[in-house]
Amino acid sequence: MGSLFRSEEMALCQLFLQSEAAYACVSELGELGLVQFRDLNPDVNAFQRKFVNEVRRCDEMERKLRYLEKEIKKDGIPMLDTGESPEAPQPREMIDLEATFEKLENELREVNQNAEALKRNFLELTELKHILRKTQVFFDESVPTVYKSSAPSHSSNKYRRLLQMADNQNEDEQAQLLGEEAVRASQPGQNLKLGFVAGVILRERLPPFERMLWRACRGNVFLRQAMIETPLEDPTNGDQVHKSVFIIFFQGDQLKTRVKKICEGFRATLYPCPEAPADRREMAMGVMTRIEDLNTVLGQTQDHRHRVLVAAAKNLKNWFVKVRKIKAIYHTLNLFNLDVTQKCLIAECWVPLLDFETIQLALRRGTERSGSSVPPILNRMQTFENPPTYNRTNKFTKAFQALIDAYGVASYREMNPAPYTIITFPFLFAVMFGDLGHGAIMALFGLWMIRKEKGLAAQKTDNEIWNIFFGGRYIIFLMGVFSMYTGLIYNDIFSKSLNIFGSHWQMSYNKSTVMENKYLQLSPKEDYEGTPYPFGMDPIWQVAGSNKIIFHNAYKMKISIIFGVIHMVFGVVMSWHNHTYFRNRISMIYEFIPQLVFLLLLFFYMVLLMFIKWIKFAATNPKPYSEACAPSILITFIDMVLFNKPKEPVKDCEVYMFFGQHFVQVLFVLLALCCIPIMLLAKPMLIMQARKLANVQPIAGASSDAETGGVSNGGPHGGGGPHEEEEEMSEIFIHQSIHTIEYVLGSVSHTASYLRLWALSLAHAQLAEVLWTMVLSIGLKQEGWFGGVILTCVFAFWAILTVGILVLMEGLSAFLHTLRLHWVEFQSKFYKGQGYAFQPFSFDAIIENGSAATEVE
Amino acid sequence: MEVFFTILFFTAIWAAVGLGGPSLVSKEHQQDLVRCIFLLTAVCCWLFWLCCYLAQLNPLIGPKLTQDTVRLIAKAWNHPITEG
Amino acid sequence: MKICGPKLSLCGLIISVWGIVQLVLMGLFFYINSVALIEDLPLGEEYHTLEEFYAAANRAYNQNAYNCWIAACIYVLTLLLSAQQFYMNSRVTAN
Repeated sequence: MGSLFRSEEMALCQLFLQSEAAYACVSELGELGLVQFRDLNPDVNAFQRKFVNEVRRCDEMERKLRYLEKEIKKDGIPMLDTGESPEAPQPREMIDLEATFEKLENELREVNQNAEALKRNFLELTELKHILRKTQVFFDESVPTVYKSSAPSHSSNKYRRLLQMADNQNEDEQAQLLGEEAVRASQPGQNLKLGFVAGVILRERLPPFERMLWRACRGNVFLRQAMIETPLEDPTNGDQVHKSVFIIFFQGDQLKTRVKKICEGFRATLYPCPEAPADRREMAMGVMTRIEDLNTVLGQTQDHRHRVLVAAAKNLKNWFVKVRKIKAIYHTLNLFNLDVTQKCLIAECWVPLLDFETIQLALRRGTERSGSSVPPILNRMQTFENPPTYNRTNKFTKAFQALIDAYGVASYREMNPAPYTIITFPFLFAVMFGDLGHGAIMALFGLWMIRKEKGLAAQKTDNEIWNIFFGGRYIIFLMGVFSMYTGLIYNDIFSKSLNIFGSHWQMSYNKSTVMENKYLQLSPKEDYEGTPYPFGMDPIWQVAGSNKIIFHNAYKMKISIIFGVIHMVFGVVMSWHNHTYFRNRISMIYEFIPQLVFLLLLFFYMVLLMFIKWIKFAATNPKPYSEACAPSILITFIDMVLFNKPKEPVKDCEVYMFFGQHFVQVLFVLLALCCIPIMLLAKPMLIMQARKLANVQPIAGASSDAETGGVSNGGPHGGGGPHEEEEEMSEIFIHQSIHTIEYVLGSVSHTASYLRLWALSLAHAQLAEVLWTMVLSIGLKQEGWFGGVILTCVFAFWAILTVGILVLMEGLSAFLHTLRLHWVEFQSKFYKGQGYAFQPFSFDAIIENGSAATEVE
Repeated sequence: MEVFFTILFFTAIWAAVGLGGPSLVSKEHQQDLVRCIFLLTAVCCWLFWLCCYLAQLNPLIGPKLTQDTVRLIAKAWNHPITEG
Repeated sequence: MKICGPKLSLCGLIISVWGIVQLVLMGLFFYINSVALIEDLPLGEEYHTLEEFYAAANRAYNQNAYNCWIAACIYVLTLLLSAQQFYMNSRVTAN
């Protein structure tokens, strides 16, 4: 197994495959997922490649499968997902698959067409049914009850009479509908014949329709409407729509055509509606029977469709995998070159050196499967190209590697910060997030995700936020655990302190002092036991409301700087590993050493001053080492760098903490300043010199370390670095000066940047305290027995706020700040991140992406 | 003396975690990664503890308490308030 | 009988468990007169003698301890309720 510290060594290989065996071999390599193929015909467009036909057939199959999937999802049939991945089928099986899909698709389309036609029919009939029913009401309202009572008789001899009656009734209707005025207006004897049309219209179109009718016909038509209560199904898209029945009365043919046109314009469907009530009844009966018939037929069609889909759902995922595999194989084969004899395909691929054997085994398996006798040949090639970066990760390290890769993929064989990030990331996060309670919540959440890993991974969702959380489950768990530890040290559990070992402060007050003073400050001289609380913060500080923050600030600022400087020194030491690995002696001597010296002499010296201050100054000491004389580290440091004359100390105190400090400081600053020109000039000068020498003696072997130093990449391993065209000398100078300025200014600003550890941890602690006193305290301070009930509600509210604000929001902010500290402050010291990722041809990845892509669609 | 032994004790604990921890994990894969993880954990946690301990070793200020707190602490932690 | 959905019942379950653990512990700490919880006591401003103050503080501590335990008991009830709801919900989805 390769280690995570550097990316794997890669080799560019040439692969000769016999035409018959190529498919099987590529299929085996796809299962393995360890080979990245290069496109050997980049200038041939996609339509002119050899297997374009096969790829197109696969696309077609995929389209059919997607259609099937859509139909299956529409019916809500569960798809069987065994999670296993069947092998890529032989090319000849493709025809069978195609035939199967073709048949299924046709069958389904036919069924759907039939169903749609039936549904349209059904809709029309239901609409007609409603029209008949509603118009009955319209007519009934206007018919005198006498006629109505005689209407329901069916004997044929009465039929004529009934018709006559209907005629009379019609006239009556007209009289009623037109109102008395109209009757008066119409001359007796003149036959006033009113026509009508009935139909159905979408409910939302009704008001404009009515208005239009009124305007177009100048109020000469009469519209009645009634809602159809049950929504109807639109056969084209299956939506539920609300419709209304209307009936329009008018006079004369001219109006009739006009009304019909308007109906057409508003997409109202008109239905023939007989005038006579008996006809209407008969028609209604007929419609009812037809609807019943249609219902049975529709049911059968649906059953058939369901059967087809259920059968398809069983195999669908399987088919998807197969088709995607075939497609991927042909897609890969398209990248290959055809040999002159047409007998053999040539491929070029990047291969991790460690897996050379495995790949050859897979190739042999592929040959056997295809029954070919000629074994494939895998040849290593020499190349000057930069190989891809491949970090072999497992489920634990994957998320951490992703954090690094999000900044930039490491250059080939460069030191990978990921293994260190596994601890430093959660730790720096925890410095900001330190609280035992909040850490425990986070750790439990992470632990739950880790325990249920398999189950949760199996139920794929496209909920992005959940996927991010789940992907980072190990990070979350570690962040939680470290937060618990730092919470213990800060002695914060939901902003309260634990008193495990007993406070090391004590008091000896007498009654009058206690009764008379509102505030009492313990003296560090008399009331302190002399040894600190053994593990973490003394619990007395939690109740010292008024000067707790002062004490905490001094402490937390110092640890921020201490950890920040150590983190940066660690980053610079990483660059040493890079220089030794790439045999870059120039950078090693003239970059790494001055960088380290600069950082140590200035900033690590400041860290040492902090420790000295902690140890040397005490309240129990006599002056000049008593508490009143303790100097400010920051002021000392600023004076040191600017060569300022320190301010006069208080009486009996001294400016300096130890003997010779002034001399040491001046020396350190001068040495650190000396490092700057070395960083700035030494490397470009040496490169220039080496080039001059090389020009004098143009021998290939004379290209010394100096030269490789100039190009500063590649290396002795993995095929050797490319000796690109040499950079211009001026460019090297500019590059180096930018690099140096960035480092020198950066070391100041980066050190200051680590103060965010203090700022965020202060904010977190304060917010937790505010939440406790503003919310939970209210519940606790309730007097009387009813307080318990109030406390229950307040606690729930407090718990929700704790999770929402303190764990989620503060957690996110601390996470982002930690990310920044790693990307900028740590990685800028050694990490180039100019590589490109190894993207092996792997069925797993392709199928994963494929299913994700279809879900998005 | 007590300070010295406390520091020694915690140093020993974290040294044990950093050096002995990797042997608890199965040796099959990525031994160096496991070692790196344990070592870094031990160093970070130890230094964090040490800083907190040293920061309180010689306090320059004392906690400022309210009247109520003083009275309750006196009772709870058994530092009796003397008459007078 | 189903009152709340699967998410709400899960939320209730978690808050109940958390509430029980934390409130029982807090009750215990109040009961043993923990110094850290001083600021959460309903204490008045003025007490003329120390004894008066201690008596009041003791009362407040005990009162708070009992209130915490009462709240914890209520959370036991909500725990049972949400557990039952959760069970119902999981059975519905299983079917």
